[in-house]
Amino acid sequence: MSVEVDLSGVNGETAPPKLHLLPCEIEHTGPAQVAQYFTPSIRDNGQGVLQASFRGRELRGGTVSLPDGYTGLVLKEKHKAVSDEEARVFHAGQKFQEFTYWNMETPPSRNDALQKAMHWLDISKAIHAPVDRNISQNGSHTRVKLEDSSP
Amino acid sequence: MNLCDFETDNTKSCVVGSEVPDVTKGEPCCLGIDEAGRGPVLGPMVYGICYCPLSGQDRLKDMGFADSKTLTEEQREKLFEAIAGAGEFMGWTIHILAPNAISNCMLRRSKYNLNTLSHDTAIGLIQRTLDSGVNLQEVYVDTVGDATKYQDKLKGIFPDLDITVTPKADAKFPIVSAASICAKVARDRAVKGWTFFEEKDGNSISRKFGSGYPSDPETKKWLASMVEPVFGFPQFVRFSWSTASKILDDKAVPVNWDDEDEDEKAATPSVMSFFAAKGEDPKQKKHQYFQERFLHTVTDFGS
Repeated sequence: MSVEVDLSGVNGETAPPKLHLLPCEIEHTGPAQVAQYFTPSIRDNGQGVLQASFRGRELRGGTVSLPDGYTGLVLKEKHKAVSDEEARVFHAGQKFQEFTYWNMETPPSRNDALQKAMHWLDISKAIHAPVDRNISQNGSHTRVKLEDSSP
Repeated sequence: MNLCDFETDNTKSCVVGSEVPDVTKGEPCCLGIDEAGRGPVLGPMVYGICYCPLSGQDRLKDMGFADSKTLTEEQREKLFEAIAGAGEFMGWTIHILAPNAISNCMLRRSKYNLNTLSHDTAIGLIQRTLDSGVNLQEVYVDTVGDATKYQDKLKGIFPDLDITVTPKADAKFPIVSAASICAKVARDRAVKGWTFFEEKDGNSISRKFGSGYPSDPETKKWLASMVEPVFGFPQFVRFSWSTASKILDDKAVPVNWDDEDEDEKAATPSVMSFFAAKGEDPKQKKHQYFQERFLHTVTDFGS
């Protein structure tokens, strides 16, 4: 089965969507009244930690920016493929450069799996980058400099 | 009683109080504590305290305090005006616990029940009064849970105070009645003036929620009509009440939290599992680095 991503609908002009990654699984795919029920409940404690509630439970969150060179896309599969031979087509709508992720009760930290996972992009880049042959033939160790991009 | 701090942001709890009368900083005083809005599934729970010099017992009786539940709303408002008018002699403080704060506390991972929340709020109000320089000597509290245990807990924290915890304290001690009036008036005003932040972009919310008690058919009807499939209820509702959660189980989309099946995972494995062949080939297992970050190699989008 092949997968196609249709980028023709990508719109950079419209306001970027406000995305929230919640620490729970909601058994629902479709629209939700985020602007009425969730966004107005968000409070900023002034130190970069956001607070909100979902279904009565306390959430603490923060904003995550995508690394340089990456673009987030909201994909929608308008029609489900009926057979294995048929290609799955995803339509890219809006672009995003950041999103908010929420923990249950605990403030966001660098130990959160999500923040740590974002480091993999830098590490992956470094270990897959071509190695300068001259250095390795000299017998000295190849050094890869990793920069921690988190704040 | 100025509730504008709470009305500006009703997602958070808030403390409001009178000026501390000078006479209460000198003369030995008594203090009463009571709460309002413990039972309802809607709106804030309010803790009230009232204090005055012990020498003013007669004046207190003359003001005509009685259990706030036996009074009409109008009578309570009048009595609150009398309390406010006696500002040179008696002081009051209320702690409004926002419904959202109650839900957050009760649904925490480490369970924090309503009785503990009540006790902690009462302790906070006593401490606050002591800190403001009031010469407290006697404290009267309407009980929450077991009276003896609650009294021992308070005496352990405030060994210098003469503390009485008893059921129906609001009917027995005028200073507790006065506190109950402050609490009830604040609760009524907060409910009446409730701003639903959810009410925007054409989303209108009916005010016909009845008394707010789970047994009230009008309240039940309102709750059932209020369900938003994803978010559940407006934050005016206490999600931690079983009346509310049962309606969500029936009418809203299911939501699964990471911590809900923690108990099962933590269970001791059966002894047989040590002898059985492991399902996974250890060589196929991802490195710990990837496991900790929940990183997987994928070749397709999820369905």
